Amino acid sequence: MFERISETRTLVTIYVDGRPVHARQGDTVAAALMSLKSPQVYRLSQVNGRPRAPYCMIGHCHECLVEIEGQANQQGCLVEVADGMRIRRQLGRAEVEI
Amino acid sequence: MTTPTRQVQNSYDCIVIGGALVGASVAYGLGKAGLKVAVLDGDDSAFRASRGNFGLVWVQNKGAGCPDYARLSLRASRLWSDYAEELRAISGVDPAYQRSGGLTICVTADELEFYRSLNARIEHEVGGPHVPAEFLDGKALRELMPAAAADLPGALYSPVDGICNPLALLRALHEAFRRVGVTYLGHHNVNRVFCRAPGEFIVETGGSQRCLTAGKVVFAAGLGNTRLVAEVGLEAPLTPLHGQIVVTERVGPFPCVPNGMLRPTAEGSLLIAHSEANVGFDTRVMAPAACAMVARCLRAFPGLRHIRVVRTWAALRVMTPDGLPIYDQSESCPGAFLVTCHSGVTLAPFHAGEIAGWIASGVRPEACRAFTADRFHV
Repeated sequence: MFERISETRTLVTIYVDGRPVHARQGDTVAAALMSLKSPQVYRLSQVNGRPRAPYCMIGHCHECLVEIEGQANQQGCLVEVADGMRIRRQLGRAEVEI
Repeated sequence: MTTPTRQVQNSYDCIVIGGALVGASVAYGLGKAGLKVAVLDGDDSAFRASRGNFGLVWVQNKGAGCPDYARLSLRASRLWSDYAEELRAISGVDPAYQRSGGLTICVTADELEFYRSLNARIEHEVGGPHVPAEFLDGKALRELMPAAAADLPGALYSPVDGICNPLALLRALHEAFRRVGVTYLGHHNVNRVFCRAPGEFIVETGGSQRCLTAGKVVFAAGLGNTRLVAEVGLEAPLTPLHGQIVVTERVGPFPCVPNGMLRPTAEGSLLIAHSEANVGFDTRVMAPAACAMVARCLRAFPGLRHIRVVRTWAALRVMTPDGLPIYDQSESCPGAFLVTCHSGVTLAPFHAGEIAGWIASGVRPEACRAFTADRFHV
């Protein structure tokens, strides 16, 4: 859905659901995930199971929730990628244990 | 061909000032009774207690010193299941009512003693079995809520208490009153109301329909009532009481019986309450008070310390000097009614039912005889 414009920033490798993919240094996690051809689904709603994707990209809407380095419910639009970062999509209800 | 002229309709059987939980409930009831009704709502500068509240449908601990209020709360809570179903059916919006039971969780032995004697006093004053609020020791509490700290002294439990989604309730009410023919006029702050002749009220607004007339007028504008009602011979001694809610991230399954400090939502977040502060007309979040209430919640539920907070807000409760509702009709200007309270969620079915019936018919329900404003002068 999204195409990168010509890009000179350094490539980094992140892991999405265990699969290594490229991102660019300075990307937010949300931007990095949306630039991928696959997976197509960013996340599934915790409330109704429907597919959702980042909306505001400025930290307000909480549509970009994703698990980063084992911490669920992170706002992907507020976190920059780092080389080797491990990201898991949230497909349904986050398993935040109490 | 003639140009159609838009007929501005500005005369109503009843105008309800205030479109939040109290006003919308009354308007829905009046619309159902067949009256031609307009709801005048404010704009984003309004204080909007209805959009900040916790959403408890609550009976326990209420009404010490005023058995009529204890009875009224119980009566309203018993109407809630049917009321929620009625609203869902007419509006298509589910207010998400659950008669989940409710707890008053005590973190010290003194607190527990206080609430036990408070409920015993209420039951005594009501003069018979009232809310069967049951004492739970720490072990019994943890059977209901395994996350409760092992050293809590106990809690009170009432099966009649419950929760709803207060924003969904407000949305359902707005849809419901439209369906029964009520006109909604947003951005209509009311500047003045007066009685031009018996049974003829003039309502001056800052909205596009500047002057409206009605046979009856209902003041249901929360804190906004105070400056409006004197001209029609009513009295609304209301003050704001600041309260805050902290919202957590959505969590996995968490057995939680709603209580004064913690409630679940259908979407998976937890809401943490409660704080009280007299700070005037100020809806800013106050971090020290928010931290204190979260600390108290963590004292009761230590496992929550890993859960993250996603937002915090503050709102102003609408408080009378004794905390009880005012249900009044003007003696000098009959047809002018004041309907105001702190518990707009719990009492919603009563406002749509008997209070609307009173306004429509003029026959005052027995259940609200104790709630005129003249009680502040005895």
